[in-house]
Amino acid sequence: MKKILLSTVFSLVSMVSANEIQIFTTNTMHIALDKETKFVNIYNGTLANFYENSSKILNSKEVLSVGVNGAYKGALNTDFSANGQVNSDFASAGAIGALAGYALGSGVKWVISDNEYLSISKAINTKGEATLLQTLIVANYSISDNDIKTTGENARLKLIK
Amino acid sequence: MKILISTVTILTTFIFSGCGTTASGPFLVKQYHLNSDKKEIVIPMGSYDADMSKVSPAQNLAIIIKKSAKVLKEKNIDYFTIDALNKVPPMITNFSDLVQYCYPENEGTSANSWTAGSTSLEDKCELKIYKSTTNNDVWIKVIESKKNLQVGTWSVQEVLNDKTLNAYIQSAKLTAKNQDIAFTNIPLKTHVNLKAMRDKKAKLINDTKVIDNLN
Repeated sequence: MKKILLSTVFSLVSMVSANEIQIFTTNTMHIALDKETKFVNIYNGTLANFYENSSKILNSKEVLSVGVNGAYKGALNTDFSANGQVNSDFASAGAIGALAGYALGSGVKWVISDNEYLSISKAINTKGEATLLQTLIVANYSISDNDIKTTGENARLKLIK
Repeated sequence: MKILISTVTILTTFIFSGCGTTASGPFLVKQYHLNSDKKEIVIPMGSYDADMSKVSPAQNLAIIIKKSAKVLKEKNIDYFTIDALNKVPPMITNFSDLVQYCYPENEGTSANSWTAGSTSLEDKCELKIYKSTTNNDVWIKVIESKKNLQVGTWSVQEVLNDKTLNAYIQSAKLTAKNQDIAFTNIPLKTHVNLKAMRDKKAKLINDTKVIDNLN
């Protein structure tokens, strides 16, 4: 009887302290991903570090190099002026559009918990269309960069149809 | 042994009690306003009325986002973002993710859950419940956008086809209609202001129609 009760206590305690994780992925260009889609890892790390370095990361050569047929070139040209600044519409609206979304100002602060991570990869489908897959990982425990990468890779595979 | 049994009992009660969360008050959609110059679509929540406490914040979230998508579609706008001031990360670009991110500990994934979006969970995204005092309160603001490589946007078409979001709205419709019936059954009392009551009922019926029109 004692053993049963003790095991019950331990199982209940383990339920309380179970590791939990939430995964949210956005496909920035809303394109379909097929089985032949190619992926390039862009970033795997904490969300806080990403926000601090978002401009550098999102303007990196890996991100901005066009796809096979330059499918997203138009999207970049639409949203950015020649010098790479956010266009005035986004700025005036105070929107999260383009890089303004990461340039924290006007007292706006993102809510970032200790264990929030981000995995970003670029995906190019067989049509040559490119997109960024940004996987936000919210955990109740600390996870390694390698686990972030693995989680991001698993999340992006679920988008393939 | 008695102590052990007591410990198990207390632990079990604590774990499965849900810590006694209390649902916050309701709010119903009243109107929206489109400011095309600034490309902002501002959607006031309407008045807060503790006597009409059936539509949950998460259900309201679904109603407002779908309403936003319908307005944007009429304007031939394909993509939008949620106002940064609501502290919703740009990686959250669909309703299911939004509910799970903002309300992680409650039953936010259940369409008919009254507790979704209550108590401290609003703090994470600052989806505050405001009492309208000036008719200018803004609960949620969506902004016209264009899809771009670097930052996620919400797709109007994806919102309109979102089954999870529609399930929340269906659930809201049911609760709103049930509330309408409940309201008509309120017994009249001598001190009741009949005009105020008629106005209140008219407003409730109008609110219900707003929800009906979403589908």
